[in-house]
Amino acid sequence: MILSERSVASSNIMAALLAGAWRTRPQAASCTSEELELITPLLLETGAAALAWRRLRHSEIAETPKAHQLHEIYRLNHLLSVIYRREVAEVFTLLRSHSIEPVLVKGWAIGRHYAEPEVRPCGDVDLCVSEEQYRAAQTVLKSRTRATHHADLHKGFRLLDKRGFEELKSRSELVELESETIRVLKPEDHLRVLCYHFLREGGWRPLWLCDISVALETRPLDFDWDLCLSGSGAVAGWVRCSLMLAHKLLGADLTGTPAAVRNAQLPQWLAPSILRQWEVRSMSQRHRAPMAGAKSHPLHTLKGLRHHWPTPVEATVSMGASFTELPRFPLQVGNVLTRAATLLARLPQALRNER
Amino acid sequence: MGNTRQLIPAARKDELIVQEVEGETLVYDLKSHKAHCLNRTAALVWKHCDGNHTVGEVAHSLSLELRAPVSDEVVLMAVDRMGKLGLLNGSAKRERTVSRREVVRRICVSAAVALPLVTSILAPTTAQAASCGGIEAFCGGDNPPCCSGLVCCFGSCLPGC
Repeated sequence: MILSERSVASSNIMAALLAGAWRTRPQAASCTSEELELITPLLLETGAAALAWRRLRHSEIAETPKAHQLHEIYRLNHLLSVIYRREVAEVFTLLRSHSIEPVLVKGWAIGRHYAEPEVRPCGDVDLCVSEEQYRAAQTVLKSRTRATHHADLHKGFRLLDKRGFEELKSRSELVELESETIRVLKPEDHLRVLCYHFLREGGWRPLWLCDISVALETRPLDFDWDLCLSGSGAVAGWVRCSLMLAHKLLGADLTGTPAAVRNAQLPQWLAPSILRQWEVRSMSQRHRAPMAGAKSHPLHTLKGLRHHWPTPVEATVSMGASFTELPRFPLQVGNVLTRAATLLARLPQALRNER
Repeated sequence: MGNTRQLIPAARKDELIVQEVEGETLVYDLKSHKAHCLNRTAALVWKHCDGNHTVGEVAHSLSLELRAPVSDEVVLMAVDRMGKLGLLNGSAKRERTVSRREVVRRICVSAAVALPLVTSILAPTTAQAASCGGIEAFCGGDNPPCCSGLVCCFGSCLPGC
């Protein structure tokens, strides 16, 4: 089997295994032990191991060595989630003590909606603060010397949404966590942020598509679709495409969604491109061999060069385009030129810093 | 077994995270950053190791709770293992330990009571668990990518390069 066929085959198995795994009573998985053997490394590397165990535990292959590995991660996630929750609460207490009001996105903000929140691993505490409070928040967070989880501070939502921080914050909600109140986005805004983030990163983690499925299926009865899908045409299209991807690849339930969502047409190349990324993970690989590190690690950078070519999904979003059947090549070239220009603009400063 | 019967084990309470999941007791040691899994028998032994009761008394309590005979050896086996993993306060450590094989050989284990089992869960380091590197975290090579807003600049995640 050639690599590309194998990639799509293993990603398809992974998609089938993760389908509905976030629900209260997921169906037992029907994959074989050989298939599980093939996809276990992918599940471990993309953070979907514990979620997969929820479908495996009542299956015929629950006692296989690979299933045991996933069970271990499931157990571990239960413990690590306690540490994560405590640290989220501590960060909020700390920032508020300096009159800084953050908004939590992704991580626990979506993990809390899973039927078993502990299975959703959380690496970092993603926080958005206003541009005015960004520097102060950075300084305050440096005092967290014993923290296990890194606080990933965002200047507003500029990397997550086109809308302004104050607008999203004004609609945000407060929820209880470890005797602290945590500010999270309104479900409509959070779903849009999750979709945007998933596509911007080239969709390389299946867990992010599970997040979108969870946000969709646990939305409140009064969910305002107009609010969620409003904004520029491209962004609304990205949300619709993400939801359709969640439906097609993971079986997310589209019942009750507007016709614009249910009838969204995905270009032929989109789902295969996402499936390929679950195996290849270009975005993740690229960060491991950054161009900026070429001087100190030339061989390493050279080896990772192929990962710097943007994926069709990433190029589409970065260039603000829509998902259509038109070729992605011009967008990919545009993405490379934009990134190269940014790199070159930063180069003099980098060289000065090195001296 | 005369001396060991009088041993008074005490479960450690501080800097531990304890969760009960699917009939197992999961323990995360915040000092060593190691995770352990206790089966029901081991968890019951641990629960009864309150620093006030001897091994013999713990075995008796377990017999009542499980409604099946539990020997001192079973309790000692769990105590030895938990002591080695740092789940007990120091006083319960003994030079002579009881192995699982020894217990199985010595006693006729009732089918109603599973032998105590304490296993370690392989915990990845924080760097492995994190999806991105924070300010001044190492990047490149096998390190996680930099978090958004940061760029990997000559091996470190920085706000600008």
